[in-house]
Amino acid sequence: MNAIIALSLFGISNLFLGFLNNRKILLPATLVFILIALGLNFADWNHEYYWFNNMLKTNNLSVNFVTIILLSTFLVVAISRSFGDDDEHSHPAEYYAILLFSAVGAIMMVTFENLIMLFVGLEILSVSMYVLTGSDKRSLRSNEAALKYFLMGSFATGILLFGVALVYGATSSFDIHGIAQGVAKAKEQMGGAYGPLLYSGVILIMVGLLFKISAAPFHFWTPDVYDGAPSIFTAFMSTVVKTAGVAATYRILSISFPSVYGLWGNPLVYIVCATLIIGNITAVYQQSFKRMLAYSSISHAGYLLITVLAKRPETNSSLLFYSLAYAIATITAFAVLMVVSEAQAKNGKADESFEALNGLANNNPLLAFSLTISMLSLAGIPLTAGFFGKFFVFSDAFSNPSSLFKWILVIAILMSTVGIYYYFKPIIAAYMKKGEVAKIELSPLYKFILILTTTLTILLGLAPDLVKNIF
Amino acid sequence: MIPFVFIAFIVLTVISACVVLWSNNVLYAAFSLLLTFFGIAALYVLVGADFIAITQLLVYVGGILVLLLFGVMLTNQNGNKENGKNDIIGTNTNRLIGFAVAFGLFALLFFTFAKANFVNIQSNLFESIETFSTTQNIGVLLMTDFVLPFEVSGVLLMATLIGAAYLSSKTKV
Amino acid sequence: MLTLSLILLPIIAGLITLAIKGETAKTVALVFAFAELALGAYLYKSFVPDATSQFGLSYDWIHSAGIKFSVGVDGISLILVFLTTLMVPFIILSTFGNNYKNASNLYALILFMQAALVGVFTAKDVFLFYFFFEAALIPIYFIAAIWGGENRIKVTFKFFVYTIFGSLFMLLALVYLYLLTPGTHSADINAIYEAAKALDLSTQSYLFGAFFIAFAIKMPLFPFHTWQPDTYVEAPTAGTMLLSGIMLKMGVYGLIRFILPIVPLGVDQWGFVAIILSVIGIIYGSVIAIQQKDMKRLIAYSSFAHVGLMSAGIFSRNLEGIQGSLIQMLAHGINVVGLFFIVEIIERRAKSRELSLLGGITQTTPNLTVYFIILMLGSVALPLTNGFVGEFLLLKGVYEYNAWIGAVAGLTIILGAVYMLRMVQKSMFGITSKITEGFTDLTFNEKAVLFPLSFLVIALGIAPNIFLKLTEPAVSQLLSIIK
Repeated sequence: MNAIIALSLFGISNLFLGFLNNRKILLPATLVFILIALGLNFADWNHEYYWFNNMLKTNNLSVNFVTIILLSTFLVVAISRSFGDDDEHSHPAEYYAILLFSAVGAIMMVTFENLIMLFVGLEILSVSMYVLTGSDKRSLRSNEAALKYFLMGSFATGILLFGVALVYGATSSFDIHGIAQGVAKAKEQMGGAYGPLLYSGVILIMVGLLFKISAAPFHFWTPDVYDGAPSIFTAFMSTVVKTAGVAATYRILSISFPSVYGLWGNPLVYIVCATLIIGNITAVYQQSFKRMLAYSSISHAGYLLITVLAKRPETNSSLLFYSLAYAIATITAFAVLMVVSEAQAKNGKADESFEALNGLANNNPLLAFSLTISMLSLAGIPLTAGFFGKFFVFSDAFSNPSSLFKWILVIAILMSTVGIYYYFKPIIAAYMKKGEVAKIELSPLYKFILILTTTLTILLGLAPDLVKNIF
Repeated sequence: MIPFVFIAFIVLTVISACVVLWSNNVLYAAFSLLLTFFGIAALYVLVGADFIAITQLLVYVGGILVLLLFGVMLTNQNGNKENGKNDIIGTNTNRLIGFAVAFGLFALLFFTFAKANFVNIQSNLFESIETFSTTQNIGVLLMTDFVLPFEVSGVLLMATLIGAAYLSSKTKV
Repeated sequence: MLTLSLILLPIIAGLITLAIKGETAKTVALVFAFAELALGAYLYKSFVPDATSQFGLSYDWIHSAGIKFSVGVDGISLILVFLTTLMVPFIILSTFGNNYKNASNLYALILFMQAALVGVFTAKDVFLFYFFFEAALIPIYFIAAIWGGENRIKVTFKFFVYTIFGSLFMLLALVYLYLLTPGTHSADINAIYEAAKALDLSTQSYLFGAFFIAFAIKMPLFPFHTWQPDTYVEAPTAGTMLLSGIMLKMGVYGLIRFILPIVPLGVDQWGFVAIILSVIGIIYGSVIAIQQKDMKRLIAYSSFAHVGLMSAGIFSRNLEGIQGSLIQMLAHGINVVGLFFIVEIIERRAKSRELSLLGGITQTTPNLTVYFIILMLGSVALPLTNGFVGEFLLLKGVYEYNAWIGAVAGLTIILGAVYMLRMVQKSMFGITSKITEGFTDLTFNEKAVLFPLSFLVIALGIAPNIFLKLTEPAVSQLLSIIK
């Protein structure tokens, strides 16, 4: 909670800092702000508390999720390279401010206890992302992406809100624990079957949230939006928004609606299978690295949903570990993509295809190595954190006694194998194809971040217990 | 008498909404939107939510619709000319899918409300409206139980303001 | 502690080698490889020939899941660890004549692979085994894909995906068994053995299938072998030596360690099919080898044939069969590394591996001829060579299982002789061709590799008991578990 207040204040401070002529101070200042918020977040450890009349609840699970979100924000800001210091077209102060505000929204989405807070947090996160998606005003793709995201996102929020209203009608409470009690009471009153109000409400809430994490068949906005937005904001979207969305979905489904598992479990099974299949198979056909990463994020949403579906006691730590591994690997991939695509820019437009990576290893060993480790992690190859992430998710699904999960597991494993194909394309291009990428100069902070994320991926791949014990 | 008024306002709202969708003239559409909002405000009154009705009038009609009209009138270059083609609706397959989705949503909502057990509807609602206003209660709740969403909406508005200001600022090409 | 250092030393060596640029990387890597060999020899010396697992150690790895980092050496692992530590110095030494770009990376990857291989053979926790099993793929993929031949990108990628796909089935089987262990689950291999005793036939058949696919792709067995000839040919010689000398033994080791004790009923039911597939592989591989013109491909197919015999011996489930496969693994490792090195030597000098273009090399290279013939005879399994011990035991084991299959498998000796002798004759004897004129004899480095290997071929042929004695108690214990 204190992190929310702090981040809001810091967002405004960023705006004021933007008045100064010195742009170089913005990046370090924002990093410091995020670290302070992270510290305030840790102060809530082992301290379960309801804030402001049961609006928010901080407990260990939420502290962990907030840590992952703030860590991802930190990394994204660190690789943002000040949005071009000398470029008069960029407004770094506004970008950092909006990023901090969207972090506020994300934090609210993982700590909410009342559906109103879920809605407000979701809106803050979404509106900030609409703006940031369209922030490259000179690019037509960016404008198109922003408009698409805005229209479809507003629709999804509208559906979510309608679902909330229907659930309120069925249980007369906005508080998620109150809803759980209301559901139980409704069951008594109607003798086993729930009314259609509750059914529709749950489905609509789920649809609204699943849109945000781009699960199929609500994923159609993802490739165009991720592709059109500036890469740095795509990195933020595919990590923070997804983590917050999955955390929110898990929170509401596991606290309010565990007794109606049959209602939301069955559609979710089909959604998970569709997500995995569509995400992985379409990614195979992509020629652009950025678009491939967009489709891969769809498939990762599928894996995360498997463990939400499995409803085991270990789901908490599996979700957290997978989100962490996925966030770190994706940010590394985007970091490499950003520098390489700009270095290989053709006609002033950044080249985001796989060909731009040809021969990367010859002159840029650090970039190539980080790229390789992040791709291996996303594919789930042992020695990387992604392997253990997938392992924990799959063993959750395996432990669930229902036989349906065996089939889901088979599909997930098959799709993982398909995933190896397209995750290896960048590795092959970097190491084995002939091409020339000039030596790219990286700032010390950039190199530090690349080394940090790569080391963290390998470290978590060898000793996952380091963080799993905490989770 | 009351049910008759209720149905009249529903008809008004729906017809105005249809005009908004299918009219070829943007100005006609904007004014029909005005009528739609009025109708919805009236429906709010009939349900007993007086504060929401006033807010609807103030915010939607007085704020948003006025802005919309400004935008339409300042940028409408075709004036009163009729545009025969409507480019928005699109090809036949898209129309079919659109119909299917809309129909599905309608069916969902219809069955939900038809089968729902609506309880707690006060039978003396229309009598009690005159003596009982929701405004004070909402005000108190907003400052006590629901103060956090109220304040955090400020962050949302801030982000929106920054975004709007940034997106509409002049770009040096 | 000894086992852990056997795994850690190559990792540290690899990291150090990465940091060194230039010519000295070779020597540093070689020194570390010999140090590892010394550790391996020490392990061998201090091993007590009984059925227990020695030099073990166990750390909590993933506490919440009951997975431990648990390693140990028993008789079966000993021989394979020894093979690994023995071969890697020779593999590194064999690259000295080549000039590779970014050589320090190559040597680092070879050392990392050695660590992963030792890990596979000493893991006593099934997930650790799976972890190392997969981790070994990464260095070899990069070795083959960066320093390999023309077609390497597609071929190595096919190899990688095919192998990982197979091992995913094994992972499913392991997770299933892990969940069967009582209480908070444990992934220790003995616990898995216990849990597996309670399985019924149909479950065992599924598990057999899952394990079998993983190992059959790795070895390879017919019909999962399509990745093998291309990958062996496209990889650089050091990579091929690692693949055929040590990595394919991972599959055979898996058969012994996992399939036989965990799903004995499944083996009863399906082992016959497995043996048939193995024997088909032997005949098929040998016949195709006879028709090969490219020496490297020929030896690749011969490797495929040899591994079929090893697998048939294991599925025969008697003491001779398993002992035979163990000693044959060691012998085949030595032979095939030597043979591939000789192909490399010929390719270095004559720039070609085509048998029709070669000939008459022996006229200028007496040393090379001697070593080539010794290694070739070892591969053909002439008595007094190491190959003979292995093949004799294997054939005896298969014959005891089923006399007809044993007889067909015995054809391997004849067919093996055909393609091996043909290869030697066409390349070494006869008139010199254009490319083999002026073929210089062996350099010191090359002799340093070939002489010890040839010595071992004969030494193991004369005194195989040095190893057989050590492995026998462990194998007997394994067989008693199966009963």
